[in-house]
Amino acid sequence: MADGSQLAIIGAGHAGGRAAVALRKKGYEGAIHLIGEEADPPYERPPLSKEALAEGADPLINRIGSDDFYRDAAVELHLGVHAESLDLRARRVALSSGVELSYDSLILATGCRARRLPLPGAEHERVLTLRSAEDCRRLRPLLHAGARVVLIGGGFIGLEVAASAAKLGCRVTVLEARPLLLERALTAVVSSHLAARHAAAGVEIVTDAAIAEIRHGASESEVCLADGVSYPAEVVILGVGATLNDELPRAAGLDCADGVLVDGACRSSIENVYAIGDLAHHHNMLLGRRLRLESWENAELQAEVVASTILGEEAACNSLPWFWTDQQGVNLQLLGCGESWDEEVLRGSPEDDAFCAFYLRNGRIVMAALINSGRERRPVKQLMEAAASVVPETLADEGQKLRDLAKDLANKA
Amino acid sequence: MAWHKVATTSEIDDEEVIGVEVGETQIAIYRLGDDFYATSNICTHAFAFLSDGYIEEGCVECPLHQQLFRIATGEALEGPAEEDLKTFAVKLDGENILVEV
Repeated sequence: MADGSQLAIIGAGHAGGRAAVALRKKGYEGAIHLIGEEADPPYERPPLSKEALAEGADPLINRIGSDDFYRDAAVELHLGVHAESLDLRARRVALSSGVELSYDSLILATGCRARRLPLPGAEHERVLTLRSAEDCRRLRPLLHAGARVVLIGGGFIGLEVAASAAKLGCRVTVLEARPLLLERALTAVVSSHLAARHAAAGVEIVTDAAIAEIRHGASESEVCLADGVSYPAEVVILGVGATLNDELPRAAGLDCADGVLVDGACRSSIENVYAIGDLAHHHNMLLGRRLRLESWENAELQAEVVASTILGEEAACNSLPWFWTDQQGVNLQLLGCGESWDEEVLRGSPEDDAFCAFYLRNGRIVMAALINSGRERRPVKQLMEAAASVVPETLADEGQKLRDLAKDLANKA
Repeated sequence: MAWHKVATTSEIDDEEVIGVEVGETQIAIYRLGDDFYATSNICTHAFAFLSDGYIEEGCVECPLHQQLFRIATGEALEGPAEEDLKTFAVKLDGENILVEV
């Protein structure tokens, strides 16, 4: 299958792994080197905070590409290896294993790492983060019934871990610095709904929590707030977002600003160098702006886009951002992100297990939150991508099927 | 293998899906026009019921991660799943929908 060309993918996480699979599926015939710091082969991360913790499932339950695939498709895996330096002019990358690779095309997919906090006591063996399968293997045995677990940060990962720990019988406290959980991603209605589900499951949620330090005794730790209250814990978990792994592209001289700057086809400022996944600060033509997305869907999409681009096909990242989280029996799906809005429309009641919240700007849906309503995603996405004018009363009316609204739109087009 | 009555035709509207159980097997029953189909109700990618999914143009979309499957064949189309859905034979006996499991 070899045509003599060499492609290196730095980062063997979700985006990097999927890119290797997509390239082979689409017919790329050159050599592919996939380089990853983790010892594990590429896998999807969502199960780590959910079934892998709560049910003890294999953290690699959703592997990307089987062992057979990597062998049969001649994708060379360099695992447990760090890319130490990158010479864009010579098109060479030096690995911590001592290997030096030459490439014709390079995909950067180094993603993010869990953010640490510059707090006294934050660097301690009892203060953990969850990002990798290895983190999950380390954390899981600590979450035994009765264990006191303090989550610092009420973001998506923190709350999913809180839900899983509660399911395992841990006594769980979530300390959130802001007045609302997930304040940047969710509106008050949706945030409150989630908070209520956590409270009902026995998770203690403390908002406006200013953490002063983490103290460590012989067998337990204590998370101390500035107001003097403290929370004892056998396990402390930081869920305070992610830090970009952008040191390598920055040192190499690629244009970076909150990630590697790429166009809609994942092309960086240097020819034949691409960036995908969490690392890619990309242009989305549908939204008409640049953004960086740390999401499962973005890793999937950009892997496909970069594979097409490298093979000379037209492709671009033009879809509506989509995220989901599963916690406390809630499957929450979000369409659109970071938009300003002027009207909130609820379909169903936040008191119930299933409802939808729509956010309109100038009579068009710009963001939507679907709570246990995954079936509605496709019609809502269609309405949003078409920037269709919607009547708030119709959206709110559960007697009117959203599917019919989307179909009317398709018929008019 | 045996035929099991799982529903009646009036229980499923056009382009709708319902979930049924035969013993411990979770099955999704779909109606496309006058035709009825049956597949496993569990997505092959992650645990979700396809009977909570969305039907369009002969395909069902998983409510969790957007995986698309062709209803008639179970074929995994766009999305993260690598495995097709298991399908089951369906026949009608008057109003009754029977599935071979």
